Amino acid sequence: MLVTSTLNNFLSTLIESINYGINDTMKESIEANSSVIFVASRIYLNLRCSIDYDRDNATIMITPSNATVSNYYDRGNESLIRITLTPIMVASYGKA
Amino acid sequence: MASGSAIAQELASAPFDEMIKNLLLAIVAAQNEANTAFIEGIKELADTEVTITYKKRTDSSEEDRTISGNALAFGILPTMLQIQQGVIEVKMAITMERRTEFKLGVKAKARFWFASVSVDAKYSNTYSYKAEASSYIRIQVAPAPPPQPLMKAIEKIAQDNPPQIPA
Repeated sequence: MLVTSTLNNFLSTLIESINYGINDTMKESIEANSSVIFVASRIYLNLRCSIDYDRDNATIMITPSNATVSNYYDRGNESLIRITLTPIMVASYGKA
Repeated sequence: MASGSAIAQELASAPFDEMIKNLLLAIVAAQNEANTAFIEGIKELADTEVTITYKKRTDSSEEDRTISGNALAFGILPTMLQIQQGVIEVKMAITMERRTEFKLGVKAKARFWFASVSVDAKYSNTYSYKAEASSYIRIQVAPAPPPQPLMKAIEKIAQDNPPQIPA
């Protein structure tokens, strides 16, 4: 398990994961011939974490809160990252 | 007592994208179930015969009269329910992993991978983890019509299979 990551990597992977989740939902709904598709009109994330500055690499590191981080390192609860994501539908979605 | 690997398994229980997908698909499934229940409701009402018997009194006599018909004919219709808006809020803890993907002829690529576990009583008590320390995700969900090409396909199917209504 990775305890710490760069903030940059963390956020880009997070957004990538959300994109995958939303796209897969869309695909599965279409494949199921669902009469209505549900889209995530807004996603709010409150991420409890610890944020540190890595002087050697001049970058910001993030340690997201979870049981391991909390119990073994007594960290992860100092900072809060609030993110609001609004998916933008690509106008040409579904076109060949 | 749980072994180290069992704890690791428990901590990294679901990939983050799978969690989002499953939360959204649960709403799609619920709406589809509601649609099926609506159709079943129509079938059930179509099979329900309603008979109302009453007495017609005139000055000199009294006769029994009956009005009967299908429940649908009496205007009893099932209610079509549609989820207008949904909000899913999950308290969760995020764990990270680095995975290296190997492809033939391609340089090995290290990728981050997120797993999320919902913070419930079990997780909280097992790992002495306070719920206040957890992150949360709130997904606001709204219905949308299917994409235009799929909508055209649905209309085509409906046109080719019109309901057979007797004269």
